[in-house]
Amino acid sequence: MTLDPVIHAPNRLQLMSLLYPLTEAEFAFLRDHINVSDSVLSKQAAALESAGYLEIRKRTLAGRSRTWFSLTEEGRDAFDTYVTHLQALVGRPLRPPLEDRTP
Amino acid sequence: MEELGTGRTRVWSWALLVVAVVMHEVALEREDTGWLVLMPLAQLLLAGLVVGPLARLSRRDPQPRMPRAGLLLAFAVWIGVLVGSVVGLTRGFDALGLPVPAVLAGLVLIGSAAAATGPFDRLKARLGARPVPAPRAGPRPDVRLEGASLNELSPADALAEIERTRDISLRPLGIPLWSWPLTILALMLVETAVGQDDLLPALAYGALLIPLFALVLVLAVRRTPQIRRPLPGMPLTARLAGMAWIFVALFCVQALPGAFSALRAPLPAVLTYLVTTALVMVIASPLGRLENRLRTRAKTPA
Repeated sequence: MTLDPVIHAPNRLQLMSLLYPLTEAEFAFLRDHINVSDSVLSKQAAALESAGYLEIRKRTLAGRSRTWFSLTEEGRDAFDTYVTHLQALVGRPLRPPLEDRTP
Repeated sequence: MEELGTGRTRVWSWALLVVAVVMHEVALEREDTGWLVLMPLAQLLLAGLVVGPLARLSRRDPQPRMPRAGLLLAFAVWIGVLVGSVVGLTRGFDALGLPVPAVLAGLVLIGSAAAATGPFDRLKARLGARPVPAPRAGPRPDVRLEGASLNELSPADALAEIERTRDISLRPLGIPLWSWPLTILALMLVETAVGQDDLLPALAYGALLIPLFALVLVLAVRRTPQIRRPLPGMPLTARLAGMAWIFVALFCVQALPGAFSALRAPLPAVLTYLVTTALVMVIASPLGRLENRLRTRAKTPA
């Protein structure tokens, strides 16, 4: 069983995991939550983009250019497979999201 | 149907929505039972087509994942029932001759929607739950990690990291409490607008509704300028706020043609609907920019 090496790197894993439940996210949101510099985020995003997992778009809002990231269908499928492998290896399923958990 | 795969609402879906509104108006004009039964059914079908792109977006929900056709059908039935409830309740109160305020009907509908959301979520979970691999007996398989830097992340760490970051993305951002009084105020305005015989007061009430509608729309749909979530992944409060405003929009469709009729110029409902939608879009955009600017300013040190 092989874990996808493109995803199985700390920063790229965080990036994909943050993006998975979202339609898209802005550069600053990802940078702040992964806690990396702009250049590191750009580099990791470029690696995912070259693998076909990530789509990067630039938009102008209120006169400022902003970069938005979203996962491609291929990226989502790859992440699904990656998580399935992880669950099998660790021997437990993912916990339900925090908001769905009953106290 | 493959067009739905892009996850974006297509132009034709808006055209279908307009057709559904026109059919709704026609059904209300007819006293024939057949029309009153067939029209909601046709609307239900159209609603299913309109909701298709939204349902497709729910594929972005991490787990459980529901089959596309099942989700589409469930959404169509769900929204069809809600729309039918609005029409049915209004007509039912009229038939009884009871001037029950629209705000009461709105509250009942919001309660019903809240009750309906629970079973819907359970249905979604049941249909979409993926089989979880059973824990393996004996030694775990070897993991072949490629690259030295990957060794620092064990599978257990990776799984925990996925759970942590996913919870960040799904964290409820919350709908402010004041959006609920706004919703009730809007329902009262609609009720008042419906009762007006004169055009100008009715239009004035309608004009008041539009910014309220846009404001809650911004909160319920955009909510933050940094992320966009698929609609089904929203917290329950956001979904309820969104639904409440769909009811308001439906009442608007009812109220504005009445105002035009008072002027003896019965413009088609579709025209008023399009004007209202355009105004909402025009107002929602500056509000979104204002919200964004305020957030940016709050973050910047003085």
